Amino acid sequence: MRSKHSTLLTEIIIALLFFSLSSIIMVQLFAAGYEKSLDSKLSSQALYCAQDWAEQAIAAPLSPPDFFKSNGWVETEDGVLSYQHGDTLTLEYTFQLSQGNGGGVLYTGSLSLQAPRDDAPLLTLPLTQYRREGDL
Amino acid sequence: MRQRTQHNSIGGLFMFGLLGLFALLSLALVVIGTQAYQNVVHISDSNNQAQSVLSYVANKVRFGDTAGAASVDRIDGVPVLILEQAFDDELFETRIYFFEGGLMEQFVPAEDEFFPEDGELLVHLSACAITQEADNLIKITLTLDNGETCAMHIALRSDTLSSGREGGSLCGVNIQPC
Repeated sequence: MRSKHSTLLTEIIIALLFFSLSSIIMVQLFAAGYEKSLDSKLSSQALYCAQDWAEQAIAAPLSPPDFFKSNGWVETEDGVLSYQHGDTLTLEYTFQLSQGNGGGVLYTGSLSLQAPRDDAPLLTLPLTQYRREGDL
Repeated sequence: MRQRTQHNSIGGLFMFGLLGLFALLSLALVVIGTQAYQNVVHISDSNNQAQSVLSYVANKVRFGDTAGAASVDRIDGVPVLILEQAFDDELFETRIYFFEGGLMEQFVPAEDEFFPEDGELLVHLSACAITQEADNLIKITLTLDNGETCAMHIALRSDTLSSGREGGSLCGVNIQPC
């Protein structure tokens, strides 16, 4: 009788141990899945945010740097324009000027979005615009 | 004898307790899993809804973006995004608007009267505002079913080109792989 009891007890304890290990793995999987979905949401938000600014810059009568400066972007010491979008994203616009053959100016640059926990930019969106001489 | 019976009942109770604990923990794991899954689905749904609507409207505008063809007008109090296209000398309009909780679209000859209820439902939304911020800039603001709001500007390249400024390039988005 005693032997039967102890066998059952051992079986239950082994089942519980196995269950505990499975639970740990499952909870980690749930957390990873949730984090992935948040990352995915952040990526698409970042893309729309960058596209939104780029579209506005293209439609604006000003050159892209002037447009960004007139909309609350801050110029850093190294000439990069920066903007804080909400609590999570930082936008940066880097550009180079080159003289076009027709007398206009070519603004070659890119908008990059930085999430707070990552070192590398979340995405980089090239933004290049040519302005004729009379438009500037 | 009595002591032995008591010992047996304690052992049985202990095993019953262990089984109960096992059942409770299983239930807790299922509940946690369900909640996590619901959260993931909720995030993914709202993300997909916003993405698909904004992309659809933006692509429609870009597809029909010839000089003067895209505009926002208010017809019978309803803001309507109008995209004009000519087929065999006849002018047609694609009208995209928000009506009774849904984003609607209709493709009709330009001279046809506007009956908002005749449009085809694209997607259910809580609210949608389509505005023309400048001659060459359209803004779409969506409020999703979960209350989230997202907005997107669409620059009209054809108007930009016709006014003498060269359009910009937005191609080649580099997204960091997750």
